[in-house]
Amino acid sequence: MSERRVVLAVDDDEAILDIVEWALVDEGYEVKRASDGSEALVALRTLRPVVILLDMRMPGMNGWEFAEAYGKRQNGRRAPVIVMSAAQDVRRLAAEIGADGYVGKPFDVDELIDTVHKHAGNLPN
Amino acid sequence: WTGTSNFAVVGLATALAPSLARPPSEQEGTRAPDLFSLALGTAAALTGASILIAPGQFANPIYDVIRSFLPLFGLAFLLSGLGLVSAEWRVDARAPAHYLAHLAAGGTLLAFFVASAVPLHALIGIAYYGGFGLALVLLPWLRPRLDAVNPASLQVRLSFALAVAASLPVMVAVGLVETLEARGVLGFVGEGTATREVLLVALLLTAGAAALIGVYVARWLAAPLHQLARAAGYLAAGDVVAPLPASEVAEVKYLATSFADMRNKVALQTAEREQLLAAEQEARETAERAVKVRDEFISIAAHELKTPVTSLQGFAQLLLRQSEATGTPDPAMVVKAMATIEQQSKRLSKLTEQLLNLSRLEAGRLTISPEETDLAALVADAVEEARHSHPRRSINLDVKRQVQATADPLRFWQVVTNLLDNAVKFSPADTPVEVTVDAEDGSATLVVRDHGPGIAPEKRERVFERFYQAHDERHYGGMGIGLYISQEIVYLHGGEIGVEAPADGGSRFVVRLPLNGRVETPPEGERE
Repeated sequence: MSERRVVLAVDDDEAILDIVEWALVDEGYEVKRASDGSEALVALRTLRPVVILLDMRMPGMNGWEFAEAYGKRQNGRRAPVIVMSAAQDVRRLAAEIGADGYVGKPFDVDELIDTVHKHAGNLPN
Repeated sequence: WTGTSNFAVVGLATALAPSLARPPSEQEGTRAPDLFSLALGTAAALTGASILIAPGQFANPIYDVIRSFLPLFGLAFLLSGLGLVSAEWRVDARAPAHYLAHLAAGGTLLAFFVASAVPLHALIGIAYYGGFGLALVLLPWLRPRLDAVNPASLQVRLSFALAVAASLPVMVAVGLVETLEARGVLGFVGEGTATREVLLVALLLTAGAAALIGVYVARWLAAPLHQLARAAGYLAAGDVVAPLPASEVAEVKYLATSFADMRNKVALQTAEREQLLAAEQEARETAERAVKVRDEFISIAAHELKTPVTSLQGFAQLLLRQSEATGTPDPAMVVKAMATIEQQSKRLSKLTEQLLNLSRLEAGRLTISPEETDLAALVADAVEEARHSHPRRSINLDVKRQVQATADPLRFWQVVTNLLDNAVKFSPADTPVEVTVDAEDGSATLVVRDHGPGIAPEKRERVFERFYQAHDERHYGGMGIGLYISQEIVYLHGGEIGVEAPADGGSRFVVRLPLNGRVETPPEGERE
C-alpha cells in the first residue's frame, strides 16, 4: 500500500469539514482541513493534495482570493479545485475562478465522493 | 384693328397665364416661359408688322404726330417684339439677353409713349403705352417678387375685392356719361371725349389706389392672424407661452381670447398628464426595485437555509451508509453526528423564525406580549447557549445590576441572541465578546461588545436597515435582517438600539429599555 492520497478541504463551517472528512476517509483518502484560504495556502507549502475542495464564502481569505493566489503560486502545477457552495449559481462561480469542478450544497455524500474520485484521476488505493 | 388684336392677345395671355404657368424648373436659375411677356412680344411684333405693311391704316392723331418716323417705329416694334418672344422662349432667366430683350421692347413702347402720347396729352395712350413699357422693362426684376405672391392670400383677395368695389361706381359713371351724351342730355358738359377720358383715368387710378389700400388693410388684418397661427404651431410643439396678438379688431380679439383659453386648458391638461405619467413611472420603478430586492433576498435566504441543511443531510447520509456497510455505526460518530444535527437544526429554526418575523413586520403583525421579566437572567441564559454553540469563543457576562423590566421574553431573547451571534461572527476567534447588563437614568441597558474590525462610520447608520449588510458578502453570510428585526422589537418595547465605535476598536451595540419609573434592585455582588 502506498501513502494515502490527500484531499485538502477548505471551509469555515466545522460541520461540513466533519462530513467531508468522514466520507472521504472511508474511501481511502487522507483529509486535511483549512478554515480559510490563507490556512489552505500555508498547508499547501508541504502538501501535495490530489484534490482541493473549496468553499467560496469564508471570513479571512475567501474562495475567490484563494483561487487567485493559488493560481499565481503554482505556475500551472496545480491540484484540481472543486468548488463547494450553497450559492444558486455554483456552476458559474466555478467557471469564474477557473475551477475544475463543483458540488452544490446541500450535496449527496455519494455525489461528493464520485466528484472527488473523478478529479483524483483514478480509483483510490 | 391693331388695337383690337393687341388687346385681345394681351388680355387672353393675362387671363390664361396663372393656369398655364408651369412650375419653375428645379434647375437653379431657370423658369417656365412667361405667357404675359410672350403675348406682349407677339402684340408688339404684330403692331410693328402692321405699321410696316399698311401704314395707311394708322390714321389716328397719335400716329399723325410721328408720321415721319412711322417706318422706324414699325421696325423697332417688330424687332423688339420678336426679340422678346425668342428671349422668353429660352428658359435661362439670368441670361443678359433676357434683360436686354425686355429693355428693348419696353424702351420701344416708352419711346412711342414719349414721342406721341405725351405731346398729345392722350391720357389713355399715356397710361397704356407708359404702363406696358414700364412693366416690360421692370418685369425681369419684378418677377421673383410676383412669384412669391400667394393668389389665395388675404392681401391679394382683399386688394382685388377693393379694386373692383372702388371701380364699380366709376364704371357706372362712365356708362352713364356715355349714355347721357349719346342722348344729348349731357351736351352742356362740353367735349364728350375729354370727359370720358377723365373718367377712364379716374377709373384706373381709383382701382390702383384701392388695390394698394387693400394690400395694406390686408397686411394690418393678417399680421395678428399670422401671429396666432405661429402661436398655434408653437403650441403643437409644446410651447404654451408664445406671445398672442393684441389686436383691437373685435373678431381677431375674440379669436385670440378663445385661443388663449384653449391654450391654457391644453397646458393644464398636459401638465396633469405629465404629472400622472411621472407618478406612474415612479410607482412602477419603486415596484420593480421592490421585486428585485425581494428576488435577491430570496436567493440570499436560500443560501442561508441550504448551509445547515447540508450538515443535516450529510450526517444523516453518512450514518445510513455506515449502517448499511457495517450493520452498526460507530457510537462516537453517532454522538458527533447527533450533536451537529442538533446544532444545525437550531440554526435552521433561528433562520426560520427570522424569516417569519420579517414577514410579520412587513404585514404590520409583529406584536409583543410584555410581562415582568428578569432581564439579567434572560441575558445569562442566552450567553450560556452561545457558549454552548461556540465552545471555543470566550463570552464574558458582567451583570452590574439585576434588572426587572416589562418585556416580551421570547422576542427579547431573539434580540440578545442576534447581537451575540453577530459579535461572534464578525470578530476573530481569539478575541472575547463582552456582554454587560446595567441600569441607568431609568433605563435597563444591554451592551454587547466585540473586538472585531468594527463598522465603518458611513455604514454605521445603515446597519439597522432592512437587507443592509455592512460586511463583504464574499466573506460573510447573513440575510441582512437580524439587526432590522432587533431594532423593530426594541421599538415595540419603547426602547432604543444603537451602535458605537469604541476608541480601541470593535463594535459596541447598546440596547436601552425603559423601566417606567421602577427602581432597579441594587447589585448583588456576584458577577460572572
